[in-house]
Amino acid sequence: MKKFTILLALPLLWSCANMDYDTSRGIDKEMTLFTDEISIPIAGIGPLSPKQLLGDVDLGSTLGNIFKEDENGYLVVEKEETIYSNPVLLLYMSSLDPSQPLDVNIVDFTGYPGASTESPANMGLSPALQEFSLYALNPLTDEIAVSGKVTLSAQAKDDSPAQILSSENFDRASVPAESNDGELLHTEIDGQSILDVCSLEDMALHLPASFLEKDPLGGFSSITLGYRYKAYLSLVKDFPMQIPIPINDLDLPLAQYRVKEVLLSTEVSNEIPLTLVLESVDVMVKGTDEEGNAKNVVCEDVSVTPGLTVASGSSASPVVSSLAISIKALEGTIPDIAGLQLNLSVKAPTGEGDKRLNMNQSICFNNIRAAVGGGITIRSL
Amino acid sequence: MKKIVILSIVVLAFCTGARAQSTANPAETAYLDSGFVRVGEIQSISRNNVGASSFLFPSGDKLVTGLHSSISNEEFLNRLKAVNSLYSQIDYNLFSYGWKGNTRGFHTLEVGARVNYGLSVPKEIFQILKTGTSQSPYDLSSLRAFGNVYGEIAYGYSLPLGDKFSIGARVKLLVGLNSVDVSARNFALTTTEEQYKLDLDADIDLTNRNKKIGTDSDGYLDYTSFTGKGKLGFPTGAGLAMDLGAVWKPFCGFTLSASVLDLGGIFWYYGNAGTSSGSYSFEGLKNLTTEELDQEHLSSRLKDAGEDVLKVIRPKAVDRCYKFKAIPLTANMKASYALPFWERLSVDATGLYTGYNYCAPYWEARGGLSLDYPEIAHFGINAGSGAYGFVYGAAGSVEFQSFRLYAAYENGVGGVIPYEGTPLKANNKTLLLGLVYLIK
Repeated sequence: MKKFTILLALPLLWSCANMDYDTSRGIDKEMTLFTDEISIPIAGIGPLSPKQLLGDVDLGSTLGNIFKEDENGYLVVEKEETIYSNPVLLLYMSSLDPSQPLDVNIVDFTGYPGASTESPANMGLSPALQEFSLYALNPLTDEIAVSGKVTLSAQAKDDSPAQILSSENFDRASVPAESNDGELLHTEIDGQSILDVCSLEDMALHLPASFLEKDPLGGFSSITLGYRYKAYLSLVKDFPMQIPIPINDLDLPLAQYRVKEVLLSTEVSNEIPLTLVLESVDVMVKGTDEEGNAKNVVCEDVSVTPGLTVASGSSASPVVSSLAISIKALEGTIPDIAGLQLNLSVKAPTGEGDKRLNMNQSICFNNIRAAVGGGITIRSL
Repeated sequence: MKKIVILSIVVLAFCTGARAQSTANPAETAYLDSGFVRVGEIQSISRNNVGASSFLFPSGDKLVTGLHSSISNEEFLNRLKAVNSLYSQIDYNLFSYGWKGNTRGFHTLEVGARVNYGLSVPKEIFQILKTGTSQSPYDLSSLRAFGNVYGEIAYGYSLPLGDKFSIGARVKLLVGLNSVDVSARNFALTTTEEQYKLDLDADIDLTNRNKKIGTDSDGYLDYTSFTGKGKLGFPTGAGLAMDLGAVWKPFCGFTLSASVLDLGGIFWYYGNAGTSSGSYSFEGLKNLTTEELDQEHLSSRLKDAGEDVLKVIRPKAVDRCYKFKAIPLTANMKASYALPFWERLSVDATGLYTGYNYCAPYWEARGGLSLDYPEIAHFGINAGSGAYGFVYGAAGSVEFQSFRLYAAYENGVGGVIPYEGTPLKANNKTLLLGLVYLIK
């Protein structure tokens, strides 16, 4: 009977309580999630343009003496100079037979449009494209004509002869009646040569017969000849100094999550013809100075991938650069981050394409995502 | 206290021998000469294909969860099933009356109720939490939660066909009391570096004829708004089911029986039906401007993203509907042989299969011994293997002056959590207790 009882009791032993699982001792609810890796799409930032970043800052009043922003947003230097201007009445008085057409010879002229690019050049900015136009203002109710020769040249840096950039003769080029902007010549100069000198030779105005009667103001209008110069600027020299970008009061409480490594990735689409290099990123943590005052100090235990380069692009063809920033704890886990100190270098654009700087050119940080390796620890779900 | 109760029942089971009325072969009453009255039988079944040890791990002098850093990915995930199911069922036989008719057959009339509820969680959910999102895409459509309460009014008739063969049938009128069922036709999560994508097509079916969940202005179910008085227990479904059985005694001492139980289902009236349907992609907060890079704006953008997710997840009210849902179907087989040298001792072999509408099927096969002293006592023990591993059980009954008290206990191995009794491993546990008055 005793053996039989033991046999019957055997199943009870199989179902006995396992004291290793005594929950009355409590359950540690700390959990480390995503131990292999978790990738999280975070955000897309942009498009960001210099105009947006500057906000209400009036670039014209700030840097108006050096360069300005044109109606399309390009950074330019402009110069306009009058070559010849005379009232109709004065021309009439110098005419021997006012009933006949009059040819007026204009004294040879030399202008120096490129001088206006000297100030931007000190900042590493140089013309990427120069536009030169010769124009005439005709107040008469009949057309007039202009003849002459225009030579555009760049001064040599040494004793060698000047480099002729453009030379054009025109014979009796027509200026329409009542024209406020009769463009006689328009030349674009692409490249780095500065249009230093514009020379006008053998210039002559050809006025119609009885031109005084064709002046609506009875001879008080002026016939004018002038030129306009516009240089679109680009960066040709690297900025000599790194630009520090402090991000304070970030206050990221990462320590509690015991994260060891975060890889931030993004594709940067850049229209701006500047090469941007993130030289270094210092992770700041809360600490104290020698006198015991609270201050943010550089954390030596966290490394951040340096030397990230955003390639230069242009308005027509933005260039996409893939960036990956690794934030890694050298020992232990990433601490609470109080701020970041970024050091940015701005360098001249590389490659071909339009290098003109425009305030509306934008940069986009697309598809910013984070990959966290080694898990994220939390107290409990 | 709970442990003492369980142990008491177990001890009783060893001392007695029994089976539940609701799971009995309807043909087995065919040879009864007199009637019976049964009152208050209760049977509890819990079938879990994972146990507490799949989620809790001893670590040093403490317990940690499978998501603790000291538990490796393989250690945790290898203990889980593809679909992790918890299923519980309680059968309550309020009243049964059996009588011998004027003809050869035997009649039974039964009134009872059944509650079943459960939860199925795909392994992928734990895999994401434990390892991350590198195994994308994920099919989470096996996620399910359900609960049903229904009454049974059954009439049974069994008929002996000669001395060796009997058949029986039971017809059950099923009265639906309440049902909730959350199920997904499609629940897919795709995670890449660039995008988290959720595709969802799921139903939430909730009965309650007289208490209607309100809707908000966009047509989503609003669980804070109810209309109607609500009468708990008012029928919200109706159905039919049938039990069929046969017993064959081909030669002296050998009995072969088979039955199919609960062949049928209920047409539930889901007055509070809703559907969650749609796709949502999260590709980060797009096109952030410099002005938005502060706490307030980012919180606002995140809130907008959260609301977009909710538009997919929140169930939108759909027209109230009738849905047919089968009740768990059980098939039993049993062979019993009374030993010629001691006819009171029988060798038994049983097989069981239960198919669920809600979760993975359960099966088991057992062998056992039973000892029968007519009009005094019957008890037996058994052991075998099932869908969740080794199982064992004991059942028995004692008779005293026309009263028969019976109980049964079935369990699997693997231990339990001390003081709580929660199984540590995948487990089928059945408890049965009942009292019958034999009309002699």
